[in-house]
Amino acid sequence: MTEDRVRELLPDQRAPDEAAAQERAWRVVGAAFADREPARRAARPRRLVVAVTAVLALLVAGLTPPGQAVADWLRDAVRPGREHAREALVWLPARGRLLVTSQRGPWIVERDGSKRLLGAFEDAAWSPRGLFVVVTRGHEVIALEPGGRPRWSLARPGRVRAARWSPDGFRIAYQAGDALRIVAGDGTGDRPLATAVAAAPSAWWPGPAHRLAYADTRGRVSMIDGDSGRLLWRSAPAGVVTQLAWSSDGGRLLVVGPRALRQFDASGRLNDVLDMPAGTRAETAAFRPVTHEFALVSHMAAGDRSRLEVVEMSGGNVRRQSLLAGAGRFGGVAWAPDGEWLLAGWEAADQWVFIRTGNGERPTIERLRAVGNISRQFDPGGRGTPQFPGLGEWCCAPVGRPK
Amino acid sequence: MTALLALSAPARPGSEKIACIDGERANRDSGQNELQWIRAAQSGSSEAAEALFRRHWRPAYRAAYLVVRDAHAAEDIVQEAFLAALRALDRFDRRRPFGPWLHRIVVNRAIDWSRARALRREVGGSPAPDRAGPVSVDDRYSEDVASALAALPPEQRAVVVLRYVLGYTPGEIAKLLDAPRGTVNSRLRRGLDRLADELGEQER
Repeated sequence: MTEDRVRELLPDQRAPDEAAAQERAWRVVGAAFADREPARRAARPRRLVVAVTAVLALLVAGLTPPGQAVADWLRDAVRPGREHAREALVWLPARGRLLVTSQRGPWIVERDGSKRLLGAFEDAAWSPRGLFVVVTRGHEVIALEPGGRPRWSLARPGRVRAARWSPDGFRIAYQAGDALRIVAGDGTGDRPLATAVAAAPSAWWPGPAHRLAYADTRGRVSMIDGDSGRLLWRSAPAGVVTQLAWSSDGGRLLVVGPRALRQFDASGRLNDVLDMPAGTRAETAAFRPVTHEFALVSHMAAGDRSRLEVVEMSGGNVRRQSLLAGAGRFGGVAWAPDGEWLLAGWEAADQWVFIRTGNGERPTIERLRAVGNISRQFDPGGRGTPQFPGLGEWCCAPVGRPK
Repeated sequence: MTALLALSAPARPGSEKIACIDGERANRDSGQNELQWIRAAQSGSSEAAEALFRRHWRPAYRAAYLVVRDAHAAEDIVQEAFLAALRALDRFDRRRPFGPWLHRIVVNRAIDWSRARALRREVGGSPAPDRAGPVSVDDRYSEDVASALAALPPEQRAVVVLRYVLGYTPGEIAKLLDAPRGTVNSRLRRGLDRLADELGEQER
């Protein structure tokens, strides 16, 4: 083949969907550029060849309120509308498997996007290494293999929910009615631990001992020894608690309530509080693996808007970085085990948004992928309007100290 | 046609001369524009960054697509390349052209991706053409040529794309890929022979 013939053929080659791909990419690239911290170049004498001088990096869009407002506005420009979403979930961008809770029951989503419905259960959680899933249904708590085969089940009076496996796999805590109970990982030794517990699932401390944090109906957070039931510490009451989450090194316990987030250390000392502005409700949060940062979803009643941000609280200092803002409600959030990809549900758009964040001081959007039509994908063949599914864990995040 | 050339093949000092006075002028003008955009983008101008992006996106995306034959992957690769390039913009030497800097990132990532994909043999890994949305008449591409190109090993694909889509000389390709010039020439020759075979079979 002659070069002329190739020159004739190849330059006319076009890639699929060029215009839309370009717009999708600019949303991410433009937002990342707007969010960068440009360096100030030292004035360079034009006529002199001089050695390279040091470049002083300056924060342009810092965390001052005006800077934050500008950053927020820019993040809004990133929102992936329906027209830019992929139509089907054909992969997960990072390794691991994802638990998803739909109206038909929990699903396991594999890396290649394939999905398996575990059955008509209400909620689900991974065992620490993803070898089993614990699910609940009515009065039952059931341990399943990921293929769906039950290993054991246990029935208790009262509605059973919020089962969570201990980090070493030897215990499962769950709630039956308003009681917190514990059972061994093989289904034996079931016993009560506490009563008058709040609906928020308890959270195992990710350390070697079987320590468990839970919230009670008075808004107090308690840490108990799961084996002896001994109370290790208890916080003062502070309103409704909707979620408890430990950082992967066990150094921080995040207590999420609609009006405020409280952060304790493992000994029960309250170190940080983040109050939500009036009219804004904290919805859900998730610690990024092997860091002290967490993703936070909040909803503003005025204008019915949601925001996703990455927050780090330390010694009274709060660092917040908005990633996305959009109309309506977002759903849950889940970090990939690698800690680089963050998945956020966006209920109002019926989308999942995968965001790869940087590892720098200020997390930024490095890549963004939206997948649409999520509700129907977790209700295949269903009649009527499907519900937007909830996000469970993306198995399995490492346990360890922040890098 | 000259305007198209100027848009799809950004000006590069030392690149092959386009045998057209208007084309040279267009390239020179666009090179000056580009220098201004880089300067402004280094100072934080989003408009300038967008101008750079829009000038270089399409050729880079086409090149990546022709190497990896997967639209999602190509989009990711080029997006990441732009992110990397814009992140490093403050360190960029304005005396150098932006295009080769970007294309070096794009093509090397595309080669890495193609090699990794060949090893992984992912589910659905056959390099089927992928249309992420409605394709207009203008967006159609020649299936024959793209398929023939896909039959080449990634390294040959890359040099063919760099040479005949992005318009680099063999010497420039050698620099971009950190490969000896002789290697580039032999990859080009083998690539052309293989393309001829592939297209010849389809024409029969």
